[in-house]
Amino acid sequence: MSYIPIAVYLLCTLAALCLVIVGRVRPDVVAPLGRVLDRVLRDRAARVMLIVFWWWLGWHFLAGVTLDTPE
Amino acid sequence: MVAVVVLTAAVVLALAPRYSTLMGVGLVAVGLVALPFAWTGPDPEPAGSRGREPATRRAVFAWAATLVVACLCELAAFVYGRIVPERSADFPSISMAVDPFLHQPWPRAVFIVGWLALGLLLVRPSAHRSAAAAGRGQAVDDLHPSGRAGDR
Repeated sequence: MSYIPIAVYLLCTLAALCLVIVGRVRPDVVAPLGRVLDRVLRDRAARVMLIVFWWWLGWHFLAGVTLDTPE
Repeated sequence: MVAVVVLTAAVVLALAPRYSTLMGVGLVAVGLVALPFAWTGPDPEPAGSRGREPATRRAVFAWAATLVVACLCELAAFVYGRIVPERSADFPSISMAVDPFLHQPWPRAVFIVGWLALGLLLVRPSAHRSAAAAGRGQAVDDLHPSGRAGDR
């Protein structure tokens, strides 16, 4: 069963890559990521939330022992 | 200047062992540098700007849909792990799926570079405003070489 969620994560990663590429090749169809961030980050609450979440991702994966799996 | 700070952070974090004190201190330092950018952001969107264009709306929707799907899968993994904890590996979260790779130095270094690049993307708009206010528009191009600085 574990292949289902991993396939979903990989598909999401692939979709994100496609959005980045299409945004660069056809910005008239799908805006580039930079323009999306310009729009989203105009709101201070969204900015604070996204930057704190981004920082937490780094902490979660690199510094905080949040999983019980053995090293 | 920005490149030097980011490169230094990347080298320190890549060399620090996972879960070590040095890693924790390095991450806290990066957070302390990034947080002020969250508070000082760009000006309100002017009327008729490109943020209202159909292409931008489509992109926002597509990005949001992608992230929501990933979050729902993560949520399902969390709920499954709570209901059947002894079989949580059958439905791994992103953390569980990525964890074995992050114990190895090179994949961890790649993750750190990607994480720092994402952080740069997030602080870039406010850096743009600061640079413009100081009359140093060139600094923006240093932050974002694709030339989006003159996009607005």
